[in-house]
Order: sequence, then structure tokens, then C-alpha cells
Amino acid sequence: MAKTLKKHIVVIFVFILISSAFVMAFFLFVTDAKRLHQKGQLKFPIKRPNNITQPR
Amino acid sequence: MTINISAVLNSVNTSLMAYGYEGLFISSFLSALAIPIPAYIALAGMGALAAQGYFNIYVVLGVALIANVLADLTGYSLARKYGEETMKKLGFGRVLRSKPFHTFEKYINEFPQAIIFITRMITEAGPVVNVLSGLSRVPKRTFIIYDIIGEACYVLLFGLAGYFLGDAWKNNADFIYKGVAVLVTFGLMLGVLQFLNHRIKKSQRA
Repeated sequence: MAKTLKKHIVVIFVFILISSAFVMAFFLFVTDAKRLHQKGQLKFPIKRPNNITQPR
Repeated sequence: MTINISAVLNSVNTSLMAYGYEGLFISSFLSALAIPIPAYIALAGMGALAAQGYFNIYVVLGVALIANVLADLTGYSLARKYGEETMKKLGFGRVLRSKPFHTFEKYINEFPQAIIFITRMITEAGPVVNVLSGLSRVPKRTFIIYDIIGEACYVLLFGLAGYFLGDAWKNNADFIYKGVAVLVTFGLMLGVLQFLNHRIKKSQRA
């Protein structure tokens, strides 16, 4: 019983670690998106030019 | 010898302009099958060109998704049908009888969802997992469902990053990698939850 509980605790600990990594990655991704948007590099919504010539 | 990344990216862009959807299909298919071609560069590049009006973004995403899923299914089906026989003929039969393979086989049969989803984001690991899934006889339905979900996330991430970043995508590869990290950690999280659920049920049964 104690052994099973110990194994569950290890798995829960790993889950907490991975979910923290997920939150951090998400936060970094959103921050980067905001930064790029402010710099004008991430354009949303897209304004497509309408006088473009198709390559083929 | 040093490799000029921007020259490589520029030549990829030029090739994409010349070969269009067919080029994207072939590079994505070969990359997902086993040949190490950086198809994600082609996909992001096509997204950027779509933003400039050269291609249709929906067709770009559709072509990349179909090519990736078809290649994954080809690898999986070939390994499922001929993998064991071919391995034995080539003298690798003992690999299939080895303990590490049995451990992996047991693991992938119990938790195929997370493994299939995560490896769609990792170009080098995808083809290996396709073959191992075929050899381990992961149910076809499970493989197809999680392959399509994973590939859709991959295609949307790289295609839309190229589309919204436009010309700036070449200088912001780390932004796209952060997106990959979000998807991989999300997949890992689901995998651990599934593992925990499996363990709790097992201990309740015992």
C-alpha cells in the first residue's frame, strides 16, 4: 500500500513538473507573440495585396 | 565549412515559388516517411508566401496535412504488414524478441495516444514511432485518430506561423520552437495523466 502511494506521488510530482513546463512554454510563446506584434512583425489580421501575379 | 542559413532559406523560398503545392506535398511526404528533409521550413515558407498572395493558405495547410498523414500511414501499414517478416529476413529477428522491444511494445500498446501525438512535432522521431507502432500492432483506428490530431497541430503551427509572420518568419524560428514546446509539454501532460489514471485503476483492481 505504502509502495503504491509512493509511486502515485512520484507520478503526481512528474505531472506537476510537466504542467509547470507547459505553463512556462505557453507564457513565453504568448509574450513572444505580443512582442512580435508590437514590432509589427506578427501581422494579424493579414492584409493581402490584391495586385499580385501568380508564379505559375 | 560553414553553412549560411539565410542562403539556404532563400534557396528554399525560390524552390517553393517554382514547385508550389507539388513541391510542398513531395517534401512533406518524404520528410514524414523517413528522409531527413526540413519540410517544416518549406511549410512555414509556403505560409509566408500565402500571406503575400502567391498561394492559398487553406490549400497549403490541406496539402501539408494530407501529405504528412499519408506518409505516416504508409510507414505504419508497411511495418504492420511486412515489418516482422523483413526484420527476420535481415537477421534482426532477435531485436523483436529482445526485452527492451517487449517493454516498448507493452508501453506503446497501453499509451499510444501521447506517444503518437508528441512525436508528430519531432520530425526525426515521427517515422521511427510509425514503424514501431506498426510492429507493435497499435490499433489502426487509434493510430489514425492521434496521427491526424498531432499532424493538424503541427501543420497549423508551422503554416500559420509562416502566414502571420510573413517575411519575418526566417528571423523568428525560436518563436515557432516555443509553439512546438507548448504542444509537446501539452502531450506529455496528457500522457502522464493517462498513466496516473491507469495506475490508480490497476491498484483499485488489485
